[in-house]
Amino acid sequence: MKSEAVLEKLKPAPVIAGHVRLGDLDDQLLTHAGERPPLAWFIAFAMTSTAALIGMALIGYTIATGIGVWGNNIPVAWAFDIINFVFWVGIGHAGTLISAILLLFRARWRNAVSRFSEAMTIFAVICATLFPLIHVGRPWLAFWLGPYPNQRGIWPNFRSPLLWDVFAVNTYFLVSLLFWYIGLIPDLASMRDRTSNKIRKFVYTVISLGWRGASRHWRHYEKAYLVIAGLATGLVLSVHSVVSFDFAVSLVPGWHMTIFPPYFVAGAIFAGFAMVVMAMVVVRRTMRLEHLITEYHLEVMNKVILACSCLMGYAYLLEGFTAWYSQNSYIHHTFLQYVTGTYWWTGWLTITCNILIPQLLWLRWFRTHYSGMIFVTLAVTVGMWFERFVIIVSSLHEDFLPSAWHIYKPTIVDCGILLGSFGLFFTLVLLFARILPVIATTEMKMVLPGSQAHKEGGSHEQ
Amino acid sequence: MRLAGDMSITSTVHHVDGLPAEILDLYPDGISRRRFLSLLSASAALAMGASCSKIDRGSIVPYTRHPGEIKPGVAAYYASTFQEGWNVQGVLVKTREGRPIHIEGNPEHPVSRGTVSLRAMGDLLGLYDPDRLRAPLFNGEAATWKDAEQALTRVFEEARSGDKKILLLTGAVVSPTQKALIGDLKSALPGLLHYCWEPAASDKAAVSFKDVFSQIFLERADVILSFQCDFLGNDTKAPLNIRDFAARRRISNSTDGMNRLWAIEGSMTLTGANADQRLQVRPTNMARLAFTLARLLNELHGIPFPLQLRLEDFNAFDPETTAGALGLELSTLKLLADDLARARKSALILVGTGVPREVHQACYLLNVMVEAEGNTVETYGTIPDDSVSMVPHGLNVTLEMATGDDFSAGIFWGVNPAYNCPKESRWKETILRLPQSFRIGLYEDETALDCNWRLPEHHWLESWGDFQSASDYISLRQPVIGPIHDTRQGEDLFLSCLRGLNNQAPQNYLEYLKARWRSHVYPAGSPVDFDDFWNGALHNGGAKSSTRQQFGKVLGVSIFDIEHALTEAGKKISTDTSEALELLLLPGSGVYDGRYANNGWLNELPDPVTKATWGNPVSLSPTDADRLGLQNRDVVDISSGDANVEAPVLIQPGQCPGVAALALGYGRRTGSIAAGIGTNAYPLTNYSSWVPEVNIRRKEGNETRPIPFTQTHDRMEGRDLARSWTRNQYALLSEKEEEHDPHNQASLIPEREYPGHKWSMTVDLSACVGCSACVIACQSENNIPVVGPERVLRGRHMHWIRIDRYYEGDLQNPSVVHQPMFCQHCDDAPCEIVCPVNATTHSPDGLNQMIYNRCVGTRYCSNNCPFKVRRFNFFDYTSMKTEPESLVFNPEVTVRPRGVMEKCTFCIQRVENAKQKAKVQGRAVEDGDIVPACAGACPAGALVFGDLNNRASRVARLSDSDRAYHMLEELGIKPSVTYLADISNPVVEEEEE
Repeated sequence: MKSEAVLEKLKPAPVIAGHVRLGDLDDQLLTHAGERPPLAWFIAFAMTSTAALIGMALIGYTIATGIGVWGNNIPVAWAFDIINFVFWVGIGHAGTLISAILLLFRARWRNAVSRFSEAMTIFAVICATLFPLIHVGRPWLAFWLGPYPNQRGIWPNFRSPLLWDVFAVNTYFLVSLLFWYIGLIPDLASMRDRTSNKIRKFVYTVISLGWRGASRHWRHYEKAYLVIAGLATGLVLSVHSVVSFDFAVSLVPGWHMTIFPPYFVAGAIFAGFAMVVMAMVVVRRTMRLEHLITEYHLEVMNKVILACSCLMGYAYLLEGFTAWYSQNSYIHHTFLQYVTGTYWWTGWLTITCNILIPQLLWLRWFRTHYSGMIFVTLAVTVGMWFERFVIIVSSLHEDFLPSAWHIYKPTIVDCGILLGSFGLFFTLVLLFARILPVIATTEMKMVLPGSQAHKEGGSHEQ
Repeated sequence: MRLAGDMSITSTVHHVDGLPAEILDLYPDGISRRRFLSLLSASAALAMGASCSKIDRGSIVPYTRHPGEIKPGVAAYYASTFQEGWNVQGVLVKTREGRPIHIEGNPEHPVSRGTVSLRAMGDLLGLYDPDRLRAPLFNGEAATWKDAEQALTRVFEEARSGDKKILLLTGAVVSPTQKALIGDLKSALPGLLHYCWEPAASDKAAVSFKDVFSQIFLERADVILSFQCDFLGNDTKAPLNIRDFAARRRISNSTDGMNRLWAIEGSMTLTGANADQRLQVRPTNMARLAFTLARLLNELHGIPFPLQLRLEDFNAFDPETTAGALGLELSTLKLLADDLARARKSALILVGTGVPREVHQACYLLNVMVEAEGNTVETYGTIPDDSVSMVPHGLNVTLEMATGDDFSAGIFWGVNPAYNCPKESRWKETILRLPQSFRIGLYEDETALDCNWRLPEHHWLESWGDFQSASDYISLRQPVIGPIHDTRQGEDLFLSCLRGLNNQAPQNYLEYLKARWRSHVYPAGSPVDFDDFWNGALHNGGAKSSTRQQFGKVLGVSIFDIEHALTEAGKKISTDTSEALELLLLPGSGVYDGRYANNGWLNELPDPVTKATWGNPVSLSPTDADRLGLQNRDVVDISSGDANVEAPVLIQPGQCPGVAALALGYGRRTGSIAAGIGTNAYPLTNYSSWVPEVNIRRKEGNETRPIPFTQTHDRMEGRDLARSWTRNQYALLSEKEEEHDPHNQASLIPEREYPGHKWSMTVDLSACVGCSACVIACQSENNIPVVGPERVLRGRHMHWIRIDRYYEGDLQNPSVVHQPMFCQHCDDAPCEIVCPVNATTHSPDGLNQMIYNRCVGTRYCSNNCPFKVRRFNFFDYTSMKTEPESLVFNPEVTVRPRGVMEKCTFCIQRVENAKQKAKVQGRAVEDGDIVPACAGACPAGALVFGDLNNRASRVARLSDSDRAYHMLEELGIKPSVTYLADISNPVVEEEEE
């Protein structure tokens, strides 16, 4: 009896609830594009696009008038601009982890959420790329960071982490886009086959690249998918490491620490998963996908968030220990400032939102109930944004020479652009949800019970 | 190919066959076509860069006939004179294409000896001030000079015939020729009454002793005692004082002799900040302290009292009582007396303007007792007649007198009483009573608005003149630019009026000046003819007067004055801590008495002590602020009598409890920059810089007003930044061997090689007093924009060099150290590796270069600079500048657009000029050829630039000093700037040995 109970427990949890037939999947997931969205969608879209437009207008104002309309000064030369950049790049990491790394680990539960999270990655990277472009003093010359041959004979400075960012973020965007697109092709083909609208049919025909579902196509698909997943896997770890080099390579106390790359990557996964869960909850509820995105999915993602939170806690403690152990008075000062200085409340907010509140996820209730999840993931999003604030602003405003210390205060333009980036992100998400299938039907079909010939409810075989 | 004529580029660069002449020398092998074209575009780009924007401002037309001295592209220097109050400085004005762009000291001037005040440098901007009145106005309507002349002549005629009086109110008359002209006016018009009004120097005693009629020799002084005398800071002669003072501070080893500065102050001044020993004493108690010292000198050291004074006269000044009452240690007073006695002739006691009359008498007595007269100070002559002196309350009496019916007109020349008269009502009464009023000045200022005729005069850079102050050398002033607007020199106007009165007056002031020089200055029987003599004098900036003033060791003070002072001092003792405080009102370091209030550079200059800009907060001691429950930025009402002024509070470390300080010169009502900045403190003055009792309380409504500081944190936080040792510590340290050479830190980065030059600078913290002249010089030379108070508040000021001022120790009695900080041109510069576009690179001669055209403005370089010396153009600060404002730009330095980083370049334009010049002359660059703007302006000689590879250079020698160190050595970035530790010379420690 006991062993049976144990075996029962060890059985892989259902990734699909109830009985779902192949046709149901198509009907449920591929028809949204043709239907009129509900009123709630329009209201949400109106709000997010307004926010995005406000953001765009303020960006235009900034480019026309100067970085001075923000709060940046000397010594705090980077503030909201780079906080937002790091924040959004970080958010993108969840998608890539779910799509790529979990693919390589053969985690069955990834299939329901991979498409959506991958889309979020792309949108997050779009939002992120905005910031390096607009934060420079002369954005119309930002293209000089690109290594193109020119008559001046000048290459950019390859020793600069900002240039590594250029490569990392661009690579990340392209690979994610490619990965996402390739995954989409079978679904686009299905949509091509199901639609009768002439325009739509033409568009789908073009972008599905002539997919016919032939076994050769599938072979190529599987291989390409795997290869790019391999590439993307590396990116999960490298991109945010490179972004962390912006800080770690400099000599600012509080930035110049070797823990930054893994710390940032953990933080990125942390923030990304939180955003994915937040959006996932909304999608699951409004599009009635409870049987596809099951409680298991949500629980597992919340567990990842919890794990990451513990990792972050460890990282904070280790940083604090390193600061003390270093016996370097500058680093001592910086770390004390994090929790007792001008911006002490941001330090405590970060700790609370990133370490303390996510511990609630030990409780099953929080892992399985919407309100609990939303509360925690909202806290994590806020906490991670403020963590970057602490790292960037708090470290810069009081560094080596006390004569240069100066307080930083954001302006309404800073806040408006941040709001605009959220608006842009969610606008893209909303559009995606209506235009493209939010769940990869192909991949879901692979995990339907009985879909695999060899094993009962087996995993995606390679 | 002749291309110069049809290129529409917006600067004047002298071209020979389309190329700048000097460039041809760099290509002795000839120029290929490709190189020619690239040079052409490079020079066009340079010219473009030197202009303010890409807007085509029309074409330039090169000279077809070359005016003799003007070489386009090459600077011409002219000697002239700057005058402020009673102070006269010889300056060299650097001009380009016929307009002045920078002001330096004239090293050949025997009076100022190469020093120049920051206000002289800053006033260059005043020449190009767009707010200057550009043409005469009558009752606000445009008028011509002919009309003005006629009106003034008519007034003179009527006054002469109708036996009426005319009031002529001017600033200090330090010009013998101007004085002669006024004398001629007076002979022509018996009713002309002339008075002088200098709002910042209205105390006769102070003026007569220190500024006009005595000369101090600081370099001879071993012990200097200052009673609230800011001779290193706010004094108009400060640059010269700093030079002489610093000469005795720049020691090369621990056994060299140094002077010692004792400061007895109520309010923290720059002098007090540099003092070796500082005592906080309220001005009310200073005379008491001074007389107590006199008594100690007599009792303990047997120095006799002069003027038949006896010890009994000093009964009220028992040292122990005095010490107790003033909160000082008796031992300290004794040490001070010992010091003075030991120094004797080499002691010098100085007294400032913000003290009661008795203090001046007491200090005079002390000077006589130590026999400073003739050694460290020389007093000239007697107090002269009223026509060129200020009688206390002179303005009040003068104005009141001018309300009489027998006054037909008032002429206000170079004074602004509507603004700085302590009683505005007094001024209003007078000006309303005067039938006619003439304002001759630079602006349509407060006084001008009250006058009928508003007559714009030349700026001093457009004027002729001569000046003589406490010396036998007469400085000359010559115009370095034609009049920019329709202005006239005031003297010229009077001469035309004299001619109108059928007086045989010369055609213009130049003629008058030359005539007077021929008769009074030109030595009789000289082998050189007058024209050569005159041109020589113009070249040098002046000449020695042939008629020497009669000097004698005349005691300017009688025994009656001293006895009176003794009585007064004996009565006063202020120890109570009631709400009433004493107030010191001293001119602002940038705006002075308000005349420079419309000057952006001088407003944005951080006050050397408070680091506040754009306004005047009231300084309170920490104790008083605590007691009154006040914090920084709280707005308070300061009232004395029926005058009430409001200002935000600044808690000033080192301020004596019971003493508040407020700067004059702010709160102007006219001027697009000046209006509304700060608060007008003149109503509190009552003709004295010291107000014995003011009431300070929080304004109703709990208002706070932000104070734009350039430095918001004052402590070194235990970090090794500005090293300051006492002489004993220095002696101990120099005995120890250097532990390790930090430059030998193990590093993966290969050392850079500098086979040619290795430019480097040394900063001697012992010499630097923190005067901030370097800041203005750098701003002037490098086209550094002014950003305004709101942006300074945000932390966006643009100064490339700053003086960091740190307080150490107890807030109520701190020690202060100043440290100039600018780009350190690190060999392993952290900014260079992080710029993604290679906009900041390292030159083969050791400079960190900033390439404005390449910068996209990511600001990573600023983050990675541990010194935070890089500045960012957050807005477009310059492209909207049109003439005349844009004329001040130095054409050799790019004017930076929005979005670009900038920082100190070691004045690379000067480095390159020197290299080119040396190359043209076929020699190597010598030590001293290159003087960056900051180093040239530094009166203390604290900043030295040179080639470290030239082992004979000053900079190499100084870098080897045992006081030398680098900032933040542990970072391994290898700065090229070497700091020499500050050595202080307190007396207390020696006693402990």
